[in-house]
Amino acid sequence: MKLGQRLASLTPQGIAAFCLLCFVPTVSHLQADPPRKIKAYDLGHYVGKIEALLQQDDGNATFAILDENSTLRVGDAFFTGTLSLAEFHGADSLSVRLGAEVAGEIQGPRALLLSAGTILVCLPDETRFAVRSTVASASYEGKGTFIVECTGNGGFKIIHLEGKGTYFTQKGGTLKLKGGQLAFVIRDPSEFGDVYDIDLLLLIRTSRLLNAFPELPPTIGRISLSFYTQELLMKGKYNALIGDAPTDKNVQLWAFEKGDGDGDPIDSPKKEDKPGFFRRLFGGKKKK
Amino acid sequence: MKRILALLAAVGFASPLSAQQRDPSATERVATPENLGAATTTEGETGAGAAAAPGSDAGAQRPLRMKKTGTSTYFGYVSKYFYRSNPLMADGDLTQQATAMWTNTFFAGMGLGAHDVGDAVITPYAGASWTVNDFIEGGLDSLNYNTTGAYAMLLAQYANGWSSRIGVNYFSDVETENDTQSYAEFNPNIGLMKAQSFAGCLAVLDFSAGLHRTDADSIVTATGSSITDDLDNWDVAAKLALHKQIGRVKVTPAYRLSYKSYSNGDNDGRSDVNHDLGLDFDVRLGKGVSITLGAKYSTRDSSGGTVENTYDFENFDAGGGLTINARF
Repeated sequence: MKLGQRLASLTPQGIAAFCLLCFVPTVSHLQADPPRKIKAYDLGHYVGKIEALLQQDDGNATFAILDENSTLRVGDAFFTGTLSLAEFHGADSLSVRLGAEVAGEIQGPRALLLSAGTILVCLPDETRFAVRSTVASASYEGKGTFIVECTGNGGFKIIHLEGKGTYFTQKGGTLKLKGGQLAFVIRDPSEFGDVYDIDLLLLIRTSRLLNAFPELPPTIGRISLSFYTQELLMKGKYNALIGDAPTDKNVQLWAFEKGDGDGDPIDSPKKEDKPGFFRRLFGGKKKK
Repeated sequence: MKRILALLAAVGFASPLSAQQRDPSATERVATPENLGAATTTEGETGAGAAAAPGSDAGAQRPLRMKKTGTSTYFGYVSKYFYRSNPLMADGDLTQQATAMWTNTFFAGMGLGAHDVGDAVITPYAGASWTVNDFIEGGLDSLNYNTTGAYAMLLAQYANGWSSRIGVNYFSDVETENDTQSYAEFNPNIGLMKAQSFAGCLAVLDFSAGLHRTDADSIVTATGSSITDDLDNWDVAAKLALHKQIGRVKVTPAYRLSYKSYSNGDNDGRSDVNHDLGLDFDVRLGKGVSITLGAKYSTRDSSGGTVENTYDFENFDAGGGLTINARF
């Protein structure tokens, strides 16, 4: 029987299904499940409120407040509340930790759109992971752990904690970062901005994405090695903290009171509070 | 950055013919700065820091200045003045010819890069030291000696917190009175170390083993032969140190246990078990400057050998020191 004769014999529903098959993308691994039905992440530990817009089969989205073991699929949007935290587990042992006031969307099993907030991505196995913000985008290939923080210019910062993988952008080519390096991703088509070496131990001590969960990331041992290597190669510390990047050309730097040169901003006392030498040695009453 | 523990003792040989001589075998020598390359465990840091840290999702991002080359260089000076109850490490009472000792050590070294090899970082180190050892009291100044030390080492730090090392040390003692070398030692060694945060302390556990190829003053053995390597030995040791920061003072109790086995000359079949129990208080005065007050009790229990074994001893050290070091 020829094709035309077969079509003529179809019911209206059959004709509609035939049309749908003609126009559905023929990517082989998606033929069994349309993209929005692919399971991407399961929610593990969380604090506060985690909300989502879950895409339905009919194209509508339903609002949901997520609990432990809730599932996010490709196409779902997610939001975390003030002071909230969440950890999602994906395929191949990868995990993504969300900070407070994060807004984003699952664009693939290893692809996120991040509109606001900060996330930590932990990739114990070799894989490729893509992050897109409102303006910029980058992907990472390899094993590694890194933090992505959205910036005011629509791009984002990458803070590389460990791993020997490679970052890619459309215009900026490839970039290999060492543990403790921070790079900006800016513009569309995306490229890399400035790269800074930052105090990894201070970051580890002050990061809620590392500390405020019941367990440290599985790659903490390798993060420790990054800190160890950084200590060997460190020459000195600037008395400043890197802030936001409000534009593509400007980066905020917050200067703080100079301590003894090695002190951290959270440890350094104010100058007027410092006692004299012998009081520091033997203790004594503090000035009121 | 690191302190060298320059523990040099003067011991008399257990020969009835020698009135006052040092026994270099009573000394546990350390060529490398203590805790060289020991990684700080971030687990402890995160626990302690979280309570005090202001907290942001990503964390504070403080820019650093980094070396353009991977080479790190350090040098320093350590001066110690301390009471020693048994400077000749003689068998018998704890206090015998007690004296005051003044040691001054100059040291320098370099790390030759940090090489990431997957789950470990390997750093080659090399360094040298020179120590002046003076007996201040008790008429023992004829035993004053200077020690030259050198070391080369490969240190591997692993992601699980353990570190391993393989290296070689060299020591040479020169008597200052007659400017002659009285002892030299070539010491290939291996070691394992683990640093772990524990109950608010940093516990450092260290295992080591090594061979000591020695060249000492010639002695005539019971069989009539003249040898200079009767102090050759191999040893294994374990040390546990707890570092606790209390304000500006770092308190470090430590215990070391070692076993030595000899095989040459009259020492053939001799074995020594050494116990060292110490307590140090370190106060940091500024960047690279610290003072130390400490005490240590040491014992050696020796047995075997082909002649009468009188190598047991007890000793107590107590005193203070100043350390200045810099790193580039």
